[in-house]
Amino acid sequence: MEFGKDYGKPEMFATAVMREIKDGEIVFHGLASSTPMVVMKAAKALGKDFTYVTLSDGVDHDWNRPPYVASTLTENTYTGSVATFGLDEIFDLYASGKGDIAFLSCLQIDKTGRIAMSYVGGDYDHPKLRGPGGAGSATLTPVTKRTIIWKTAHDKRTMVEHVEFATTSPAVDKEFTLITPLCIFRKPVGEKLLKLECIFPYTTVDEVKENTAWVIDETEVPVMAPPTEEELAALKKVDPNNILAFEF
Amino acid sequence: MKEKLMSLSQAADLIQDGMLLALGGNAMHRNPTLFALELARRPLKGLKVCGAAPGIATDYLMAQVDTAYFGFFGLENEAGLAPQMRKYMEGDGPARAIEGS
Repeated sequence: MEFGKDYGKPEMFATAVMREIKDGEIVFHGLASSTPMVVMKAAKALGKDFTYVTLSDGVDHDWNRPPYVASTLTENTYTGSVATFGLDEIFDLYASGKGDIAFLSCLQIDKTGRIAMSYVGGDYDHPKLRGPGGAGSATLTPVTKRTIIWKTAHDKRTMVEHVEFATTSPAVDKEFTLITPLCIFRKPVGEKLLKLECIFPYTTVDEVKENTAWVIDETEVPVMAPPTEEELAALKKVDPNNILAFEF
Repeated sequence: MKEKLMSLSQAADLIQDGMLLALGGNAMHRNPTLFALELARRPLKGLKVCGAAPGIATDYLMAQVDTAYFGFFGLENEAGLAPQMRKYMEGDGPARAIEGS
């Protein structure tokens, strides 16, 4: 597969996120989450046997029906569900330690995985930019086996040296992952800092460093394999309206 | 059973300064927008609003709100951040955000 011809950054990003989902897992995304929505539908199309929960209250909805808007609050993630399972029940399930993955995002993030969703600049009562809030991330991050932050921008305004006010931060005893259009950072269980785990085929460690405000210690990391024909076909099959492009 | 059906203006008459309101819906979906627009025409003040994901209806009321309790306050994706929420919360804006998530 050739970058720029067979696939672009959105497809590589989506593929990297999709490869995080394993058979038997319980996987959640929330509202305003068009990218993980498309990815999770595509993972279903690939035949991955996981349980899809989201705040439409639907479980394992009919992924064959293409999303028509980027919103993840429409009936599209409910129709055809095998069960109704509300957000309160999802939070209870995750609080009991049974949630495998929560896909979350952020306005800013730092090397310790502290994420800003509340505000950027100023202080809590006098913010320069008031964000939408954590949307459950402060509840889910400490109890979810693998929190995965997806962020479709990779620059020094987003990957900052220090987040002033953390809406949530990783638990030491949980895995915590950041996926960007350039690479994957991961904080293993028992550790406190994000490490550069791999880069995508069209970039370099130097380019990642140039666009990250924190110090990256790793010098040589593996390059993730490009999307396969099957992965690209799955993305195309579930997303004919190209909702994946919305965040890029 | 107590009859609860009433006109929009009668319902809006129930709301007084300083009340805590829970408006249904999430972001741009299933919001009581006409009710919020009716309230927004009135000289109410000191309202408190709460919701898991308040959106367009709550945003209409922000000039009358002093405190908002929420997990996510916004309009989601295509519609972006909530403009009135930002106007009344950013800088020296009078409304306070109490996040519960």
